[in-house]
Amino acid sequence: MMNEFLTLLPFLREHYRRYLLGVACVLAVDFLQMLIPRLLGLFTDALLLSPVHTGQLRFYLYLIVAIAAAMAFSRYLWRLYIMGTAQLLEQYLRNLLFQHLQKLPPAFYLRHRTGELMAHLTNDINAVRNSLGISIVLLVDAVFLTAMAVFFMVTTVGYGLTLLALIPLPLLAVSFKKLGTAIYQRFLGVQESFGTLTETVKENISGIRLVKAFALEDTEKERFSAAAADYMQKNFHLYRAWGLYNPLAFFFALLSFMIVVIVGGRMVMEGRISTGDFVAFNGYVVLLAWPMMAAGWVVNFLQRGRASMERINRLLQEEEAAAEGGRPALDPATVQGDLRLEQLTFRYEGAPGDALRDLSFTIPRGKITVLTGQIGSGKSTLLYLLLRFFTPQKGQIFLGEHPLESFSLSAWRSSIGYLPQDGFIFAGSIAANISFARPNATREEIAEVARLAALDTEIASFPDAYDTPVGERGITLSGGQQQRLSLARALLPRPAFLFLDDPFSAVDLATAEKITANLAGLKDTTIVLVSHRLQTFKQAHKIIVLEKGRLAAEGTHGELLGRKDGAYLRLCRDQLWQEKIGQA
Amino acid sequence: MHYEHHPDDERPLKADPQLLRRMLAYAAPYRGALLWALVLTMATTALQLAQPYVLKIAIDDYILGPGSAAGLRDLALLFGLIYSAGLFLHYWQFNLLMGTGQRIVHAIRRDLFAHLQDLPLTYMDRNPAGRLLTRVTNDAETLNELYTGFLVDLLRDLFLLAGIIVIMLRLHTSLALLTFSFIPLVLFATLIYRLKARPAFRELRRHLARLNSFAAENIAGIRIIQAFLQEKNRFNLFSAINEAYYRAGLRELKVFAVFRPAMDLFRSLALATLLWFGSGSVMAGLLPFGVLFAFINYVEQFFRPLNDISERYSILQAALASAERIFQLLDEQKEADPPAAVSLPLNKIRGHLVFDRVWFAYQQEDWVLKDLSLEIKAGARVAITGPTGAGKTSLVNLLNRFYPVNRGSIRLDGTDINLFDRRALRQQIGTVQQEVFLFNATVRENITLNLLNLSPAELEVVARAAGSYAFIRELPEKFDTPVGERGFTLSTGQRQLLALTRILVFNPSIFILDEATAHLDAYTEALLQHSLARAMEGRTSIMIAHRLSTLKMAEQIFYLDQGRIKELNNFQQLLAELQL
Repeated sequence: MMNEFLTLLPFLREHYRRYLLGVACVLAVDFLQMLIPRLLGLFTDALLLSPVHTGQLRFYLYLIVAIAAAMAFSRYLWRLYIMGTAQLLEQYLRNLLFQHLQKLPPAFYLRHRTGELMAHLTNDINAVRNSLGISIVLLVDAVFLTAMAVFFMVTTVGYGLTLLALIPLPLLAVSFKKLGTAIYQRFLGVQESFGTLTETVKENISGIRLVKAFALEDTEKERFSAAAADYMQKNFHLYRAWGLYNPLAFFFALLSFMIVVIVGGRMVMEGRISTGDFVAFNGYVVLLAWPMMAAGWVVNFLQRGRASMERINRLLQEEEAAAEGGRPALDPATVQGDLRLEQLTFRYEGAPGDALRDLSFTIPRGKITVLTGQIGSGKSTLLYLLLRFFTPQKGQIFLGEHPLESFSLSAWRSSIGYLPQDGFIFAGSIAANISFARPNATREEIAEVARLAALDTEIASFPDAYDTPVGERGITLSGGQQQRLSLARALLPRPAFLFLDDPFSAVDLATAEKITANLAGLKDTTIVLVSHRLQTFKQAHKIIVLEKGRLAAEGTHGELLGRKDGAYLRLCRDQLWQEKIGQA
Repeated sequence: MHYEHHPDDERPLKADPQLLRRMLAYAAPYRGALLWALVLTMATTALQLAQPYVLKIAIDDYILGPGSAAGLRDLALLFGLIYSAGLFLHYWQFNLLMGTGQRIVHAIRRDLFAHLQDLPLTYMDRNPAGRLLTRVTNDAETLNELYTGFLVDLLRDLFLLAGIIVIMLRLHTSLALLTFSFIPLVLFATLIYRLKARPAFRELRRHLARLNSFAAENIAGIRIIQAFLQEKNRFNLFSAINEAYYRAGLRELKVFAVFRPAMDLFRSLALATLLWFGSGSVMAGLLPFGVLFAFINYVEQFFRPLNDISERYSILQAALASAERIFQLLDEQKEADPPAAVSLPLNKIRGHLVFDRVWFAYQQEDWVLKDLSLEIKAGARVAITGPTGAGKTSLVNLLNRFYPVNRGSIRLDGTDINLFDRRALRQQIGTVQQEVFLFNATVRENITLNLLNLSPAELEVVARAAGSYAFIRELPEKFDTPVGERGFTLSTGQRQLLALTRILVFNPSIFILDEATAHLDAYTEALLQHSLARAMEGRTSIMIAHRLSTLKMAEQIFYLDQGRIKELNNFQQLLAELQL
């Protein structure tokens, strides 16, 4: 029933002693707490007895203070042991999940949004922590406090009155269980409605231009009001169940109280129990109300923890991309031969059509190959396959005579450099971003690739040069600077293969030409470069034109121009027009 | 989502009376309900307080006194009845109070959203979507705590405390004063706790923010991490932050682990002191035992609100921070229309456009358009070309009055566009962009925008004219197929065809094509050409384009660069000179 928590077994094996110590402390608190009403009872009896024995009264008081001190200390300890261990568990689980997420292939990230994964890393882990933290305390409380309270009640006033006073408890347990489920269901409803509300606002903000252009403000307000009103109603619905919680607990406690007063009071009058017993007994009944309420919360916490653990487990069961495997001894950099695509076909999961279809061509070793074509023609996807982010459904990529899969993933990735289309930059210094692949790179190595990427002079003008922070809390780089920084990052390990996804889209013509010349000067480096630039076409050894995932044309710039009226010619004319008109 | 650490979190709170006044103003329409909730709260608290008192009567008057067993039973039953009624009141109060809180927050939310609709785009540009989203969702939610948790609960606690104090004083003055002597001790402990807890808590939040932004960055940049084999390094960094977060959590835990048990200890000390002095009075015959017994019970109840009040402080702090952010947004200046808006007569616009010496900058003095003058005759078909960043899209933004012109004016049919009602003006302009925004709704709703009611036959006619019917027909539920982020995925070309359909439906006087064809393949572009021609019929049309094939559709071509514009009279000649 709690199989979901098996994932945590290694942690629990290592740290169960801390939990046990914590539980022992909770038990100690509970036990000591039980003694207080009893002492109050004894105190009462001693006080009402004549003659009064003052020494005895004083003794009881000292005892009460001593017990209170011991309780305070135990309370401190269980917080440390149980809550502290739960925090350790939180750290453990977060590390576990993060480490796993790191190894999941890009296909996984296409299926899951950032917000969703962040929810697992935050909310779900919190829920698990609560279920193995405070709810353990509540559970121990509920079980043992009840047992002990009952035990003391029996020893104080016997079975008869105890049973009578306990009659409401099973009723309480049953109604709390039902109420707990109802609250949980309604809570889910509230959360769902909150999700819709959030989506509505998000959609509105991202479409605000359309909203303004079509003067949709009023319909949008109506749409939002409806979503917000639904959220409000869902909350009302929740409150109606939630609000029953306390009154119900108090009602059952009231029943017990009435039984104690009516029956117990009569027993005192008839001299069957002492007034002290009566006082003590009342104290126990009052004490019982708490574990009963706690039981409700425990069920709630555990249910949420279980649901969250299940979601986390589902993530943990996602298959990792195997980093090793293949023939580990085989180093792609030393293998001879060209990169060769053979009848490569690839389709994204759930997509209606192929992204790449039946692609066969050769990427010459040590040369620059340019990929070109319209948006959605499959250029980036082809790079993803070369990077082994995805596996093609049909066909293969060869390096010399070796299929790409015969290299271990880590061996292949350590021989490549990659520049993504969006020029993603991490929060940190310029130097840290450039040396991303090899954090222990020297300043000279960093400066050298910055020069190759034509970024060195600009870096020198930044406030702290290479130590200038960029990203969220640093300076904002222009699109072109981001691209060149990404390029330097890709160049730093001096990889044998460079895969560059549109590295010049925000870089001016002259700089792009300079960089391409720098790239052409790299020895033994195979470069695949996505571009639309005429200049780059001229500097490439080979050009591949893709159209809707198929090979439309391949050859050198001169060869391709020779074919009249092709897609390539049109592309070049548009490019040329833009360059020409710039000078006009 | 937005995981950026908000600087506001660390700013100390200043109790701004104006802020409180504005918050209370939102509660004002519900003062009846809130007052009633308070009355109910007082009633239930009074009943709660009565329990030990009833037990005192039971002991002194019945169990140890002259009363009969039957009298005791009647007393208990009466009490049970009243107490049950009290529970019912409690339930009522809870629903009333929480419901009112939601209603107030609902009102704030609606105002926030409505305000957001009327804010200028300059504001939207400055603030990331995540931040605006947080205002409407989470910040508003935090305010709920203020109205429900703070306003009424605080009053209830104070009432409870006052009630206990009065009862104690009436029961026995010196015992009561003895109990109160613990108040300074409790307050002192709370003060110490707050001093220790605040930095610990702040540090915890700081580390959590770091942890989350690191994780979010990692998810966003996962491909680079994997391509560069940096999984291990990234994990080590994450693990270090995670460890720091754990340490901070432990520190906070320890502070709390000392504070709470200490409060319990104080209560026990108060109890022991009470018993010591009380028992002396009982022995001396000065105090009935029942009174002492009642005191024991009241001491328990006395400490709880004292503890709670200290916790309420942190709720207040969070709520005030949210309130400040919310009111900041509400204070942002809305887009303005001229005082006496000239209502644009629909269908009578001819579409004669004049840009008269227009200067424009998004940021001061950083001119995007410099002294630009341009006349477009009614019904003309012009193209504007030029390098990226030349200000082409800014022209469209100005025409829509998304941004104000810094100098000069734009006139439509001879009238300054600032004199029109901005919504009516915008409705006269239909734009197709490269990235067409679609709502998470059906094809039909995306075409009609829920403003017009078209029959299926009418829809089909328009869709055929726009050239979108061919693909809509193939969709699983035709016009009722959900599209957008969570619906059926449409290609860029299909999205643009939808946008064109929308334009034919709304029939604006001015048509703008904003680089929409820049990245389409030849086949899709050819498909679109026919629909474009249709959309341009009988309207002033402005095409912002690079492509030769698109430029060829224009009657006049303008070249815009570095904020200045000129007409390309020699387009054909330039074209002929293009030699590869």
